[in-house]
Amino acid sequence: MSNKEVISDRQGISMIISFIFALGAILGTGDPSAGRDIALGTLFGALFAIPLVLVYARILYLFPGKDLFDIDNIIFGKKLGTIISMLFIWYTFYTAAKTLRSYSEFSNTSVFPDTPYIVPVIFLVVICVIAVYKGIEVIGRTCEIFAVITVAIAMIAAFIFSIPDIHINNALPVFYNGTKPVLFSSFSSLVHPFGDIVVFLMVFSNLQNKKSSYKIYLVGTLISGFIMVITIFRNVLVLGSDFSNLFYFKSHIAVSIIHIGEVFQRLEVLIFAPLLINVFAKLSICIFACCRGVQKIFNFDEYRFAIVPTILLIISLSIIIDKNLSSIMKWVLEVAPYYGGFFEIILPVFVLICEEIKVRRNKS
Amino acid sequence: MITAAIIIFYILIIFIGIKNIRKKKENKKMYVFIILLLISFAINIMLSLGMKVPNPLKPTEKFIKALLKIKDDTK
Repeated sequence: MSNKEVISDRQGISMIISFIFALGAILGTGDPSAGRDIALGTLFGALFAIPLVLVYARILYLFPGKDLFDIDNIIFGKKLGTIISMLFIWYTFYTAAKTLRSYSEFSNTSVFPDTPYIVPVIFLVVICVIAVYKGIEVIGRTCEIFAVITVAIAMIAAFIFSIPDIHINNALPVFYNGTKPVLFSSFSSLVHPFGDIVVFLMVFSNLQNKKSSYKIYLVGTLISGFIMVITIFRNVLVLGSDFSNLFYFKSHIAVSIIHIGEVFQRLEVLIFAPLLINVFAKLSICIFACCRGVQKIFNFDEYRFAIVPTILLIISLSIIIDKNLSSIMKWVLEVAPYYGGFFEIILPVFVLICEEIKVRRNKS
Repeated sequence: MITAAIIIFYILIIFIGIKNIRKKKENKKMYVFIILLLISFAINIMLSLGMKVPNPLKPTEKFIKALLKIKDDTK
């Protein structure tokens, strides 16, 4: 039953936009050492993401109708394939826990300061259980509607309303700190929001036609990259690099400054509403991928029995993963680029190389 | 209080889950379900009692920091 769900191109693109935009918009991307060139770093990150995304698309293109777990089993055999699949499942699991933790930290520090940690999490997670239970097609259709709305809201909040507060001198001179911090920042933003879409290798098994994987990955990355660059650029222009580095949630501060007449002020909800919707989409996709992995590893006929245990494990992991917000940010800035780089760059490239060898041998 | 609530919650989930899986008579599925639930149950009970749960990311963090020669000030 679950194998016949087809994802259309539009749904796939919307899912990728929601996925990248979920935390990227609120936590920001890149390394603060880049200072005023951080938007440039994000732009380079989005450009570097294009070859990476082509690797992902090629992995799906060579075996149409199969997801990463099937491909691992075909290429590496049962035992080694299971180990590599488990590595990818762990990474998905880690991404979900990080997302949940960052979301609850944001809602705890900025929106509901007196509410216990678990309360916003429970409400979010219950919707995710329902969405994953209904299947990936339903998540895709939800994203198709909401991605347009969230992107529109973010663009309005990002640029049109912020125009009175923009100071172009905040972004000048370019390359003031040299090129090295910008390159590191671009690597960091390549891994954190853009490389996270490696999760879709485990989700996209039935696409519309053979070339869909290229179209979905490329268009999704380009659109979301454009929005991310604009958002980060807005933060630098409105707040200035030194002032914005004082905050963890820069977009939230940048939007709270907006003040147009007496009517439009305190527009933080423009940041929180898209965040909530996109985090829901990202979490549902990650949980779906985890459950699919459990199903494929143990050769079951369906994945729905694993939803509740997986989600409870994700909640537990999200609590024990870090002590507080500052240690999360420390992990994100210092260690996460290298940790994510292994799962997002090295492992998929290795899989692709083995896949190409296997396909060429079968032909000859 | 919180511990009791967690225990009741898990018992409910195990009963409902097993009831659904038993209809199809798949033992392997039931074992996976129960093992996954027990791991999260153990972690949540430890958290509710205020015990320290080891962080699975700590060894990796130490390894990467040693590799990059970043000073490790976390304990």
